[in-house]
Order: sequence, then structure tokens, then C-alpha cells
Amino acid sequence: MPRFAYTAHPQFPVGMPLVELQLSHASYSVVAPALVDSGAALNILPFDLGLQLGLNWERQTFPLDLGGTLTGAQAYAVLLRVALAPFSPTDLAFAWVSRPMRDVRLLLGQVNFFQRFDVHFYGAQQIFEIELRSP
Amino acid sequence: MATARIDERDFHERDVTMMELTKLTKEIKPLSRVEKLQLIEAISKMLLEEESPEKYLDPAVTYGLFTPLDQEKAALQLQQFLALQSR
Repeated sequence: MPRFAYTAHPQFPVGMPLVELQLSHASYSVVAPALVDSGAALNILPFDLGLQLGLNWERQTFPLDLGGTLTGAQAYAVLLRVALAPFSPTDLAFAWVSRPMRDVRLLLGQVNFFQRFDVHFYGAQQIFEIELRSP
Repeated sequence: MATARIDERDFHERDVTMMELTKLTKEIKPLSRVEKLQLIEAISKMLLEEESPEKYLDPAVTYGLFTPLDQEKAALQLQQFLALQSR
């Protein structure tokens, strides 16, 4: 099972489970670190990252109702091709939110990252393992 | 059974701790009243230091909490979006 190391933060005493993703949409592609967040109900795509992927906010048709800390933010469902080495690229659905990267992170949450992948966290050892589930 | 083994280990660890405490008590007993009070003071200080949040959290660091809460409705909608995509 592929093993990943927690990413250290210069100010932070412990690392965070981050993975480097290649996100693709149409002819656009972006590489960005994403937080593997088992507490997040869904995958989150920050607004500016969506723009870099060529997504058009005005043309989105599937609105999402956000709550909690994101109450008041608008969001649309978008499907992206996601490559997480060493796995084959797969489609993941994201809530593309009207908040920039300085306010929200690129998150991998329960819908549908944790439905496509099994993740084992070993926080004390600062490592985590990811396994791709068959569709 | 795994549970039984864990219980046995727990008992063993408890026995070792009890033995160490008995040994310590024997060593402390001959100390003078003042030395015992100094020991109490040192242990109290040790406990305070161990309980201090600063041992675990640095007040100079900004700890980012990124998990968006209460997004169950949006997650359900995203699931419905996915189901539409796979049709």
C-alpha cells in the first residue's frame, strides 16, 4: 500500500497529511497540495484554483448549500480529473466555493475522496497510507 | 484471545509500577521532614509543568483549522451530482 509522509510546517510542531495532486479540467492542469481531511464531509476546491483550471463560475449549473463555517459562501459541484501518484487518474467531485485559497484549503473529504480511497493514518509515526478502491 | 493478552500485559505493567512505588516509598521513608517537604514541592512543580498547555501548544503559533463543519447537506448534493454524472 503506498505510504506518504506527513508534511512538516515551519511553525508547526507536527506535520499534516498533505498529498500533491494534479487536477485537470479540459486542457487545463494544476498541481497543488491537498489536505487529506477525514473530518470534511466533501472535497473542497478554492475559487482561484478553479479559475486556474479554466472553470467558468457563470456557467455552473449544480449549486450546493454550504453550512457551518462556509455559510454565506456560494458553491457549485464540479467534476475534475485527479492524478495522485502512484495511482491511475480518477474523477473526483468537488464543491467549488466562492472563497480563495487564503481562506479555504484544497481538501479531500468524505464525498468522494474517501469513497474512492481507503486511508490509514499513523499520526504518531507521521505517515499515512492510501489505497485506491475499485470503482 | 487478543483481549486476554492485553489484560495480562496491563496487570504486568500495574505490578511493575506497584513494585517501583514500593521501592520508592522505602527510599523516601528515611528522609527528614524538610527533605520530604522539598520532595513534595518538587513533585508539585513537576505536575504543574506536565499539565501546562504550553507543553503541547505554542502560543506564538497560529494553528490552522481547515475542516469545514456542517457540510452534510452539501455533501449529499455532491453525491447526487456524482450519481447524475455516472448516468
